[in-house]
Amino acid sequence: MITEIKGGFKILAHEVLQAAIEARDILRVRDPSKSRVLYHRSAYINTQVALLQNQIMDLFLRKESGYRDNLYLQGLSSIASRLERISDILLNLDRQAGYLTDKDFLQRFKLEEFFSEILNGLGKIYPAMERRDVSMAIRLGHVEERLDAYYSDRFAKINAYLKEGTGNTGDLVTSLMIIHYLERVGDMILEIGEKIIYVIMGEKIKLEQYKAVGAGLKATGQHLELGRMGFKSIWGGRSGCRIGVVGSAQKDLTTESPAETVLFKHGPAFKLTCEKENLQLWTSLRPGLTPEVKAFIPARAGSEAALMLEYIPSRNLQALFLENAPDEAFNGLAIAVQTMGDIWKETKKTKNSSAEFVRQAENRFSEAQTIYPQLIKFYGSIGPMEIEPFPRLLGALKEVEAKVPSNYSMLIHGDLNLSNILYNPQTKEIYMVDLYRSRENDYVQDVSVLLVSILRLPILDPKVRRRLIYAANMVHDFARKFSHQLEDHTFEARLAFGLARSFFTSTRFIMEEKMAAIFVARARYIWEKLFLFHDRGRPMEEFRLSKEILNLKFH
Amino acid sequence: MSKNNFRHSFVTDPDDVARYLESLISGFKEGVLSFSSQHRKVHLEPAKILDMSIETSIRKGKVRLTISFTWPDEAGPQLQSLPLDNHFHEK
Repeated sequence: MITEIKGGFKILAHEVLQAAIEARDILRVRDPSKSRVLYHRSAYINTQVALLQNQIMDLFLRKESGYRDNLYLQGLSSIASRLERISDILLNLDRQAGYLTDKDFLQRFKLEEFFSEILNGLGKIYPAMERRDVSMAIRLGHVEERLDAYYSDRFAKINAYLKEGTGNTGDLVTSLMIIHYLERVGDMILEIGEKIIYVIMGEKIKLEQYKAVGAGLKATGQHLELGRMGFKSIWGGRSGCRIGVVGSAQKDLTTESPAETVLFKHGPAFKLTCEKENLQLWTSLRPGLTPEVKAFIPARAGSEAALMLEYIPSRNLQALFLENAPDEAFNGLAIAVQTMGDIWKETKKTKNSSAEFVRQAENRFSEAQTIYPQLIKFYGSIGPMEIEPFPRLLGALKEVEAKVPSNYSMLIHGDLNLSNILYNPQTKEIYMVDLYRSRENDYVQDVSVLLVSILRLPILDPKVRRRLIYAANMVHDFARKFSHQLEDHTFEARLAFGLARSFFTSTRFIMEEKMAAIFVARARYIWEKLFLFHDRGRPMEEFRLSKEILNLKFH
Repeated sequence: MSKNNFRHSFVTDPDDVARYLESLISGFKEGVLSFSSQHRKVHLEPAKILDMSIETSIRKGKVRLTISFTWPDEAGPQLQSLPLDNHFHEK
């Protein structure tokens, strides 16, 4: 029976992929015969989904399937529903296109870009599920991110046309509907990715890592029975690791007391090994500041490992700022910089180090370019003044940065953004998480990442925004004072390199092109300043960037 | 953006502003203002008589200084838009 169901799923995935190809072709060139094919295919898909779900229900009722199968079947059933919705959306696209008065109208919106992502995502669903391939499932999430980016881009274009009053209003509105539908397909693909991960992770916990997980839990005095373990996925980790909360299945996992719950991370072995070792180092320096390692399950056949950590139920500073608790967030931030300052001081060695900010920007260049090609690829001139392309500017700056290493090396967090600092306002305690990038390096790395993570919060409310900028200034002043105590003479230049890097790479967190443009412009400004300063033969120790660069508002 | 338009937003400072303005001034003196991006080149030839306006505004915590030049597009296509190869001088 399961084999039959799997076969049905394979056909279903294939049919939806075909439907997407047909929808793409129909939007390119209207063709009533193709529309008929799509219509029939959509009806067939609906039948196929109903059949599949009946078979799954049948198996459940007969109680013939085990835990592993149940998880798989549950996952399959909800994936099938989403595939059906995608098919409905595709059919709607055809209907919408029928309203267009100008048959070539859509060409200006380059819908093939959406479709190439959609086809890419749809093609991965069956193999990801069959091969239990978590990284492939993660890529479904990336499909959604890119579709969102295309959507905002086209949305802005349509908006501009509507404002200009050029172009056919009816066709513009229809186009808006069409891109909206395409964006919805992305949401469905993301949800399918989450379901696949749920299935795979659930199985892994259950079958392969149960012993290790159990050992970890025993160490905390807990005992989880086979079959009573619950798992809640926390989507959104960007480090390529999947994070989940494991606890007893009957309760709401996020509100459980820490004694009953552990955090489960599953991902590339090298990252998790690194994180485990760093956590142990930090625990030896500051017990309680970072989550305790409960268990580590090294990579087996593949290259994926798992790490179980103490679950800290506190909110992170980003959430506190966004949830309108800026006072609490500010207090947490003040404690965090103080703590980091102490750790830097204690672990300081007189040894040159460089964060290589320019290289960091280069490494993330193609990602930034994929999301905002117009912004990132820009180069040109205003009269005789050249506006250099970013790659050329960065190439020239590498040499400049090499001249200003830090004279010190100290233990840094490595990814000190607001979401990696947790704060409990009741106990006034902070916790640092996500330490896999922690290493001995230049403390300016932490300073610049933290500053830009504050500034990039999408908070528009002028009052809260002022608090944010105030918070950024507090961090900046603290770091500057720290540098004075160290007699660190190239601090300002390195901070400029770090800020430019973080402004530039933060664009991947920003969905609005207008806001992303503000960040890219700041990065360009700083890089050009650094380049000109060096080019004029001035000593880099004298480089100063106005603190007003932190006064970032979204107008 | 229409194909005859050029737009570039950037961050600058008073020292830097001078470089941009000087480049515009020399364009006015020579009779051709040139702008380019990776997609297009735009050449504007200012008329003999121009409308110029300077406007300041301070509101909602934001100061704006707008300087604009306007002239009729009577002499035919003054705007030349030359499509450029995307990879033009990109290395």
